[in-house]
Amino acid sequence: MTDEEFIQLATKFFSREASEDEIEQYHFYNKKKKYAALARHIQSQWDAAVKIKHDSVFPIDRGFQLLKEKIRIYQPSFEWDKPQVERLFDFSSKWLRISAASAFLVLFMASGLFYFWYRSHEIVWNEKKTVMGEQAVVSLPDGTRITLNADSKLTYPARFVGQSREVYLQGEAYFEVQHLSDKPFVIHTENVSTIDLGTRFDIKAYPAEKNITISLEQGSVKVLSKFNSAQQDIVLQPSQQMVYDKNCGKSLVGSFDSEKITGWKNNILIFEDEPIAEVLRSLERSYGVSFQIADTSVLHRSLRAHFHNESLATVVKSLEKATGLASKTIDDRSAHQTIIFFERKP
Amino acid sequence: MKYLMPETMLCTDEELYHRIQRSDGQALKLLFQKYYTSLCRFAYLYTKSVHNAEEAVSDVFLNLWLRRDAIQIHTSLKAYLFTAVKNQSLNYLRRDSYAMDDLDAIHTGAIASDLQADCLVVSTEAKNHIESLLNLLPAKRQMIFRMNRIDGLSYKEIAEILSISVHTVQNQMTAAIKFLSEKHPRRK
Repeated sequence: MTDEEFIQLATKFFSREASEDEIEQYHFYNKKKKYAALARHIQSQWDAAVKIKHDSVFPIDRGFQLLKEKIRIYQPSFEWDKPQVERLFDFSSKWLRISAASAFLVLFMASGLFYFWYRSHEIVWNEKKTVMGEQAVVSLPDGTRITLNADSKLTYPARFVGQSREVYLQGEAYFEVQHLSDKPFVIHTENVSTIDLGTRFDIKAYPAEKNITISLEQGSVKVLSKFNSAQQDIVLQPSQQMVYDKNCGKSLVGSFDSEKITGWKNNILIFEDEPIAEVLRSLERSYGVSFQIADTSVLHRSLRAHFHNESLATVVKSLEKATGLASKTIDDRSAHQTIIFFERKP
Repeated sequence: MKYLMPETMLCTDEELYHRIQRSDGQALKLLFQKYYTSLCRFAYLYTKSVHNAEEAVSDVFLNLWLRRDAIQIHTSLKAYLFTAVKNQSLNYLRRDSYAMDDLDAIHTGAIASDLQADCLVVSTEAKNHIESLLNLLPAKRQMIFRMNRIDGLSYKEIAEILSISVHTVQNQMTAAIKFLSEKHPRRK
């Protein structure tokens, strides 16, 4: 027997895959001086390997935390050591399963009839609109809280009826959805619909912009494309963001900076190397003003800026600095302020 | 850090699973703890992302918990866990490759390149000699060795989970043992 063959035999022996014959064979060769040393080495390595259990790449505490958070989406009061509510029925019994299934069938048919009856009763829709420079909070009867950013519109039913809770959004809003597993919360925007799976998230869908952005802070949401049914649904995980391009109908998932996305609720505006054109559009919405710019070549330049609750005057001043332009404010009382940027005379 | 509570060692998987079926959250925690590292490493073979590996593993345990009444396990519980983690990892992989497919189609500065630097850092101060040796093995061989030695899966179970033959598992195990025994300082 070569060393090679002995190692193969020993491997089988230690991993408990050896047949009775092989076990006998192993013990036989093990007694021979030639193999005894090798057998000892193998055994000591084999014994040492069992100590390897955990490593720093996947810390167990982070794992516990993640699993607990996921379970809490479905069972908000879940604790590891808290006794769970006992189930009323034991579904492992075949007859119970069958009777439960038929009960569900009857219930399903009944709810279908009920649904059609209900559809004939009209739903009353409410609308909340914000103008430029305005924010609003909408509290829905189910406990869901929606913070509406400037120049946005939310259409929602006076009360939720039917299988799901559906609202329509134009513009940007931050959602804190009261999750009900039997009544999904659906937000319809221009091209995509977002289904809440228990969550806090931001949706930005301004008609004038080419992208729809859905940024998930906590929980889980599912995003469906309305026009492209071939496209798979995307489920976002916490701190993931989906950007949907309205022009090509495609989407991209990545990460995002929470303060940058949801800062607007606290009047924090963060721009990281964004085209000045987009910065101005965003500032127009937040401050309820219009910008006019004489030299459009500036619009393509990018800008990096953090505005924490700054006054309009400060913002305008920093824009002047960044673009090297001078500005003039026109307040015609009838409409909102217009700020004109023009080249400084030498 | 304290990792192994004595209870983990005392309870068999079957006992833990029966407790889980009776809605015992502590049993879920123990089972999770018992296989967490191995399952994450296993998931990483497919996802190549630490984040997605952790997500896949927690998804599997979430599902085990939510469907504790309905899940029928025909093989061993650990074989079920490894198979489910593999499937879930492949789901994540499909989802990501789909999402990343059209990278060029969208211009956005808002999105960072990826969730994190996806490299499984091999600790330079490996807890002991054997661990650093194991890390030198090819990823799949190392995984097979860990599945058998640390998690106690049989060759047959490993073969089924990885969709390879029992013979291949055996060869990989032998190669791993050969490597370890060669590197072991022989005492004369």
